[in-house]
Amino acid sequence: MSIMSLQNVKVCFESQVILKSINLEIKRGEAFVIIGPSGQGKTTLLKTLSGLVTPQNGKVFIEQKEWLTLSFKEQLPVLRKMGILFQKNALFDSFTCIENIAFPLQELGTLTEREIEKKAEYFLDAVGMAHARDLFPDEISGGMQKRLGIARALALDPEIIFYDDPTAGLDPITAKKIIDLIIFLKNQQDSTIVAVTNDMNRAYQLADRIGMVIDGGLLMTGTPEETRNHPDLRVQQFIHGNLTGPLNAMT
Amino acid sequence: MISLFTETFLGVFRPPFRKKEFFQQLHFVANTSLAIIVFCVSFAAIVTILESSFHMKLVIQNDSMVPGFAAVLILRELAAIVTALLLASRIGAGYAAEIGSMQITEQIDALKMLGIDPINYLVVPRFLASIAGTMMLTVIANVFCLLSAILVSQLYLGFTFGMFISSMHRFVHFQDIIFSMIKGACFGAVIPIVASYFGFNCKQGAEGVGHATTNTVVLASIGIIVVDFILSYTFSHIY
Repeated sequence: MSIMSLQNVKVCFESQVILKSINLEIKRGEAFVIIGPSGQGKTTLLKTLSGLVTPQNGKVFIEQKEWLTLSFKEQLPVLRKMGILFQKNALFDSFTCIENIAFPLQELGTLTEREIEKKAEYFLDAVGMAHARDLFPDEISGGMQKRLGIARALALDPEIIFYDDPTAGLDPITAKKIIDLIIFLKNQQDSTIVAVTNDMNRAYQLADRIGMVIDGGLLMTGTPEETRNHPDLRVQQFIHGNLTGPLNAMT
Repeated sequence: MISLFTETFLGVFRPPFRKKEFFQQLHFVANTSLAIIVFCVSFAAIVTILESSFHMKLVIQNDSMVPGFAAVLILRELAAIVTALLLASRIGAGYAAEIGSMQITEQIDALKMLGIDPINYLVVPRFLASIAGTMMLTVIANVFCLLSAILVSQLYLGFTFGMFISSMHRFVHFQDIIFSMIKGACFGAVIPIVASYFGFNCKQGAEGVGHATTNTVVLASIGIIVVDFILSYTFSHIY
């Protein structure tokens, strides 16, 4: 059963077409990884799926609800089932690490101060950052900021989690730790994951299904095995990182 | 901008009511701006009374009405507009830079994804705090303007305290104080709406934040002057 779907979605920023006629269904509980060269619309696709970007054409369904017809109040219960790790983390810089996690819980308004603190400490501990409790985001490293972003995304126990390039700018060891953490948390919570990455090793590690975005369109979707054996030369060039091939003309 | 104003105005009556954020913003608007406003409006009042006296003596060879005229000018116009223009630069630029930075670092999107309405969380407390703060500062500015005017007229123009008060009594009415506070409230409403609008529409990068703050100061100042004209015109009919 699909938890999110896009039907003929077209997204433009000013006069530039970013996504053209995208049709996509994400199934409940699956890990869908979006790959593709830089600047082709991966992040926009992720943000459209999460309801953050409003398309000019087409329909967005989240939890069987037509997203664009809902008011913010009607979207609220669905939004609280979602978590997102942004590409630049989007941590609240005036809050400490623990406050960043506690903030969405406070806004929920259903927990006591003690319960909020306990839950925030639990998530901080789960991402291995208990020692950074009272530090501000600009006082911690990039890897720690990613982990804090993941902890905040998970704070509301979301059913759908979006990861926008979770390993961008991280060293290979930290990147592997982050992916292992995402996989561990997914298995623990049985959530639906949509992630964007350029790193094929991480994509294979994480994905149940991979979708490749090129020039604002969804070129292919398939399992990691299907992606590896896909006949399209653009897919092969991207996954092998070849310097020459049909993608050069496009990027 | 009109839609932002409408949403903010309606948001004032919709829960959650954010007392903590309101008082934080009120502190930012009122407390931290107090000294600079008192300093500037006092000098503006001194210049006003000295210039009025000089020109009245020049034209009608008599400056006995200066305290009354100056008091009316201070209460109806000077304190409110100088306060608002200073706040437009100070808090308007601050709000635009803060919201603009949040916009380009995706913190606004993060709020939405956490189920928090950015207008309710960011704009409504600033809107209310700016209205309340500007009103309070306008009253304080009025007091300091009048005190400066009394002091200067005693030291340099030869009016005693009693003469100043009796002259002021002839020209100033209670409505002037109310009008001044209404002006303060309206000017206070303009600043956060303009700042939030440019903050939410901030383009990427440091340049984008720079543009947002510059545009805020310019448009908020223009807005204040236009609103001042509309209110003064309206009040002149009510008077």
